[in-house]
Parts: sequence; C-alpha cells; structure tokens
Amino acid sequence: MLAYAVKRALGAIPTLFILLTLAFFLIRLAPGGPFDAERQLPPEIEANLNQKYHLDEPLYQQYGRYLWDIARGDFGPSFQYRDLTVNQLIADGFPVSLRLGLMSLLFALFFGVMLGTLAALRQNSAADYGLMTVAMLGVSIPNYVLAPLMILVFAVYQGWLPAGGLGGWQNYVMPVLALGTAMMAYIARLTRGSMIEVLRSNFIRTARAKGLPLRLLLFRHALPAAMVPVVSFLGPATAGIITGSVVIETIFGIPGLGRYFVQGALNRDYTLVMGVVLFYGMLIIVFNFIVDLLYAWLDPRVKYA
Amino acid sequence: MSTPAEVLPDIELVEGRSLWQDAMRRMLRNRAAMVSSFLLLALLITVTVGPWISGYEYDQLDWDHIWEPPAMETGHWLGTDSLGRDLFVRICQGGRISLMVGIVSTIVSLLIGVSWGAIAGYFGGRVDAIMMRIVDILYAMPFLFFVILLMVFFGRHILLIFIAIGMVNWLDMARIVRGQTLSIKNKEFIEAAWMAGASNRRVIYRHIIPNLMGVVAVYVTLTIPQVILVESFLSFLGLGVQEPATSWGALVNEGAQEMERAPWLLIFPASCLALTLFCFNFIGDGLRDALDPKDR
Repeated sequence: MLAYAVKRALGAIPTLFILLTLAFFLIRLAPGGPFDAERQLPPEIEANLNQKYHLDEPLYQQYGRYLWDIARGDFGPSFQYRDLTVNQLIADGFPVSLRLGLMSLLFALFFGVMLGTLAALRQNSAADYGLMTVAMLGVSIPNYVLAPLMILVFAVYQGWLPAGGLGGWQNYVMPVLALGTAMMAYIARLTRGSMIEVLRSNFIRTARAKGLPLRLLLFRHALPAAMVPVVSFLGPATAGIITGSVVIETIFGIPGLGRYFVQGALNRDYTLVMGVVLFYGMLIIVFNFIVDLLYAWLDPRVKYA
Repeated sequence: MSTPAEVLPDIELVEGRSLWQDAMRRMLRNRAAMVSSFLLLALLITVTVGPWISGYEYDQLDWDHIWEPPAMETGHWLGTDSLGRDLFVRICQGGRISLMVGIVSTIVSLLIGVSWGAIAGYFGGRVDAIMMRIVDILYAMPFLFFVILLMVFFGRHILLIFIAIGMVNWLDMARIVRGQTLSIKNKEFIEAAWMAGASNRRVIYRHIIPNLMGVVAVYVTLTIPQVILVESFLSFLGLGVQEPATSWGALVNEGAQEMERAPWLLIFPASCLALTLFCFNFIGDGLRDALDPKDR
C-alpha cells in the first residue's frame, strides 16, 4: 500500500514536469507581455519592471529560475495583484472553490446514485423512461446555459435566491445546482446501467433466495458492486468540476480559483496562470490516486499494481 | 415424385445478415434515436436555408427594431438584439459555426485517435507501451486550460479552435480504438480467417476495420456534442468565434448579459444548443445499443 503510494507519487513527477514545461513555453512564446495592457509606460519604468520580475533574462534562464522556485513550493509574485504572491492568491481562492466543488460532487453523487437505482429497480417502466429522459436532458444542458437560466427564473423573476456573490447558504444553491446537475445526470445513467447488470447476477439471486430484505440487499450487496463504474467516473468528473468552476465562478461572481485563472489569462499574469494550472494539475493527480484506492476497496479483484 | 431440384426453389434461402443490417434494424426500432435524427435533420435544414428565407443578414443592423421581442409582423421571428440584428438569422449563422466546429474538430480527433490507437494496438509490445504512456500523461493535463491559454495568447482564429479542440478529444478515441484492436486481434474469427488463408490485408480490411467502425461510429456521435460544448464554452468566455460572426455559445453569453431586459436572447439560443446536444446524445446512445446488443 505505502509502496504503491510512493510509486504513484514518483510517477506524477514527469507528468507535472511536462505540464509545467508545456504551459511555461506556451505562455512565454506568445506575443504580448503582462505590462502591455496598461497605459504606455515610460521605457525606464518598463525596463525596471521587467528587471524586477526577471523578464529581461533569456527564456531558458527564466525557465530554470521558475523550476527552482516551484521545487521549493514558491509560485512567485503575481503580476496583476502586485502586493500578493500567487501562493497567497491560491490560499485565498482555493477554499472557496473547494467548498463549491465538493458540495456539487456530493450533490451529484447522492442524487445521481439514488435516481439511477430507482430507475434500475423499475427497469422499463414509465418512471424509468421518464427519469432517463430527464437525465439525458441534464447531460445535454451545459452548466453555463443552466446558470443564467436559473438566475433568470430564481433571482430575476422570483427573487428567491441571490444572483451572485458570497454570503449565506442561499448563495451556494444555484452554483452547486449549475455545477452538479450534468454530473448528477451522468451518474444516474451510469448507476442505472451497472445496477441493472448487478441485480441480474448470481450473488444477488442468492441473497434474494435467502430472503434478505430489499434494503439490506441494496445497501450491502448491490450498491458496492454497482458503484464501480461510478467511482471510475469520479476522475473525469473532478476535472469537469474544475473546468466548470471557471465559468460558474465567473457567472456568479464567486471569488474562487477559477475566476483568478480567467482573469489571469486575460491579463497575461504569467505566474498566476502557471500557478493555477500547476495547482489544478496536482489536484487532479491526487484525486485520481484517491479514486484508484476507492476502486480497489470496492472491487476486491483490483490489486495495487 | 418430385426431385429435390423441384422442391428447392420453394424453400426460401435464409440470407445472412451483416452486422450493419442488424444494427440498422435495431436503430430503426429505437424511437428516441429516430426522433432525434429527425429533429437534428430539421435543425440542420433550418440552419442552412433559414437566413435565405428570412431575408435578413446576420450582421445587418435594423435601428428601427432594437430590443424587439419575437414578432411575426416585422419579420424578426425570434426578436432582435441591442443592435437590431435578427436573432433567428444569428441563431442560424451561429448554428452553422457550432455544427461545423463540431464536425471538423471531431474529424481531427478521429484521424489522430484512430491511427494512434490502431498502431499501438496492432503492433503491441514496446510501441504500445510507449504510445499509451504518452496518452496517460496527456490525460492528466487540465486540457481545457491549455485551450484557453492557446486562445488567449495566440488570437482567436477559427482554425485554431478546430485544431485545439480536436487535439483535446483524440485521447479517448485512441484508448478505445487500441482496446478494440487488441481484443479483435485475438478473436477466433481472425484466427479462422488466417486458417482460411486470408491475407494480412484482407484480415485488416474485412475483419478488423469493420469491427472497429461500430465503436468509432458511436464514439463520433458522442464526440460531436462534446466538441460543440467545448466550442460554446470558449465562445461563452469570449474566446471563441468573434463578432460579428457568432456561435451558439457566444449568443448564450450575450443573452445572459441582457436576460432581464430581453430574455428571448437567452432562451432561444440556449434551447437550440441544448436540443442539438440532446439529439446527438440520444443518437449516440441508440447507435451504441444497435451495434453492441449485449443487453438483449
């Protein structure tokens, strides 16, 4: 187990290294610089700025410097938010994004699994077809379409919920729904498919024959087995939540990491963009690792390799 | 006393059904998929001939009719935006771009993915290990972030959109095709073909590729909506198609900003986008059921 974890951690290093290198050169080779957007600066000041942020050095030197900083966990200063480092910005924005993302994930998992199981238990009934058509609709409506539609109905017309910002729990309702609905629908479809297969298998028939009540049958026997494809979907789901949060945070004006990324990219805030990309890269790797552990726990046939 | 030769013509010969005939039959029975195909076709025709029937241009400003709600009399069937541009025509024009991006980018990812996966699967061994390791590494990348960076830093050209999105989507295709090639290679009917003396070429063309096509066809129909989604995501962020041209994502974005004043600007493009994705998903699902009838 520990050996496996160490192996995975070592395996992540080349991935992160490639990610860093690609992102670094992609950003630096593009025309334009972080101080272009502002009013025309006097050349001396621009030269000073460039010197301060080491932008006047040759590219390979900057790359080496950046690698060295990253190796020590220092993401560098932000170009846009002059008084803050990227580390501080990430520390600021990440808890907000994490809360939003986790809530969406839990919402999607809970309702997705519940609805999928219900549909599987009543396979080919009207309820099943209805649920699955709704699920398909949920998969087909992008979150950035759902979000403004919800704002229109719940905030503008009805005034039940605040349209944006952060405050009480009411502020989280629409973002969580917007971010989680497509995933919930997808999980419902996955759960239904695998649940139908599991319910037909021999060990369920045995359990039924023993006279096990439905509740026990479902929760102790069927669900763990049916969750395997859902768990392997959690990896891509997390990546989806992360990219989705970029739009959702922008629409609802939530000061999270996703919004920093968009603003950073538009302002050519090199270090902020790099920091967010790297941070998210690490996050995805860590999450995939957790998913693999879960997978092995649910399905005893899977061994740590 | 009749001879066998006289009896035989009355016996109807059982004609062999190919995989595709079988699939076609099942597909035609799938009501959701057929309705979706029909809707999609209708949408495609509307998008193509719509501007021509309406008589407005997508970038034509009509200062007498700004912020107009949908009305038949003015000829602005779905209303106009803040500049008096006809929403119906703009939806058609945006639809053309969205669908074109969907199809072209899918072809890009199809070409890369199928050749990558087939080569890896067919040659196996070290080639396979290296090629698939590359795919694994790329998988862990937050790809959409790269696309956003590409669009921000290298301008918002439509060709770049095609390539960027196609590059993102080939990974899944490569994995699926590789897996499929591997399993087909070891099937008994391939062995049988070998035994019957079929040439290498014949095995590939008659046995491996037709069996790949099913998976690829399903995957293509499921990739198109994903690609449309990514494009509209980029356009929504203002990074995709640029004014005065438009796409569904860009229209949704504009609509979202004006929704209090002109909700139709949001509702119509959003419905078109959702409907298209809905139809593609249903067709993909239907195709999968038709080509892979393990649940029957």
